[in-house]
Amino acid sequence: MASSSFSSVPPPPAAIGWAALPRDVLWSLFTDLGQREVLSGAGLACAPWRHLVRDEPALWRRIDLTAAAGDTVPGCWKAMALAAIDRSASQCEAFWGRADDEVLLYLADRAQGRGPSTNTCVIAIEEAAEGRHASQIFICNAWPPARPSLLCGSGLQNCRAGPGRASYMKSLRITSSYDVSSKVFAELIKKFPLLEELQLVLKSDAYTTNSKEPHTNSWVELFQSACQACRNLHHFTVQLADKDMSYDSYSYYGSKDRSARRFSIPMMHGLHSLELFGGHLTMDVMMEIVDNCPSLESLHISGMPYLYGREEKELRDKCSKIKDLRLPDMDYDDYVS
Amino acid sequence: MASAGSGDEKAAAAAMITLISSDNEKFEVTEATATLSQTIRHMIEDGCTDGGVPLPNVTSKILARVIEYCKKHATAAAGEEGSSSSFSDAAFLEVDRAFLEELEEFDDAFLEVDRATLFDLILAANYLDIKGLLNLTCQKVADSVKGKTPEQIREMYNIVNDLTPEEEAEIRRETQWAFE
Repeated sequence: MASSSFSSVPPPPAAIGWAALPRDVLWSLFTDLGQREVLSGAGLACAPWRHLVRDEPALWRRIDLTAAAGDTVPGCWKAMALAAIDRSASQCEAFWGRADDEVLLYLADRAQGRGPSTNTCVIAIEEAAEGRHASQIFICNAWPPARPSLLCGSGLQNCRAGPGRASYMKSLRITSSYDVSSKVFAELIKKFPLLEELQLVLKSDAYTTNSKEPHTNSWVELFQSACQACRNLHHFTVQLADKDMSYDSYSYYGSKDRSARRFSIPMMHGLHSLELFGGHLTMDVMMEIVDNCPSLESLHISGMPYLYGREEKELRDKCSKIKDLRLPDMDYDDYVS
Repeated sequence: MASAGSGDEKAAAAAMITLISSDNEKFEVTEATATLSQTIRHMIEDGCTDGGVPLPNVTSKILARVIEYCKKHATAAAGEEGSSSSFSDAAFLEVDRAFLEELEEFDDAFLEVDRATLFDLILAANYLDIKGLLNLTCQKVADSVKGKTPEQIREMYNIVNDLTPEEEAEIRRETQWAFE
């Protein structure tokens, strides 16, 4: 095969040896390794390995770049996040890891498929329902059906809904250093109608904080947007990583800001757990939440402006069915009465 | 199913299968051992194992090791099944744990091989579709490259860097941004 003597460096032919491991084997190897390792090490070792990593979106369906315990988040987290999002090529179902606004916007942009838009399909269904194409077997390529009732009433016998332009995203677990805003987040989740889980952990990492005005963040409004956009929502969590960090500023700011639009959410039968903090959590908001989320099993609330006496009792009574309930300490009866 | 008519001085109940390595060595194994390989399981189901199963991709040296693995794991599986009904819960858990510990020790010892053998074992596990063995061997490789740079990995596994200059540039572009 080789024309040169054994001692000289053989010319690299088509990949051989470890570089030429079969796809299934590499798949198993890379899955064991974890995506962070694959992005920074093994995935760059040679062309065949790199190509598999780059061209196999299924490897990136669930992006998990969370740092292991005791592991410092590497400086290149952002490059990794963007590379992983690129590779998932719109098939992404979960994104877990560090993110900021820029990463989130990128994710929103890339995590969308290329099928017909939901709207196109609704129009098509309406036309079909009106009998214009009544005899056709209609295959709807948009998911979720924007208006399920329409599908039921259309009399279509063979209507299958498949993934379309809307994204597959089901789970977001984001860690951020106050470099995400609830506004960007609210925009983001509108594009993820299948979202079931949203978890946002805010870390006060002194060196990376570039939050100019963190106080403009209203996670309560974000929750409202999530309820409106994601009807399958099971879990919604916004929490501060450092419990000792004061959120008084949030409370204080929030309590002044009662002029905010009225809080209103649709019935959320699927919502099982909710964790929120912040001064926008008024009595009205809490009542609306408990009324419209009848399946809540876990409710953790903190940083809420104080409630007194009768109000507090009313709220606790209303929450009596929730198994895991944590409301802020409201033991101020002495003060009030 | 294939009858065990002639070889009855061995376990009479166990149907035996003959595996033939690339260098034409024959290995007699029980069906329980052989069917840890999905590839062989399908052959048995299709009834095409009479006269032995030729495995042209696996040498006798590697096949012997693979069979060693399958025997151990098939026994462990059978042992677990058998014990579940005859022991009290606590005793069962005890036995179960002993089994698992023994199996783990076996696996660790099994993996004490040079890279070339590991490589052949991986290919054999993949070809024969033995999930446990593939996971075990891949995990060994994964552990060894964890935290390593691409260059270190190339050195360890004798991999030639065949990335084109364009690809190298692309990688630099991708990772550069981290340090802005």
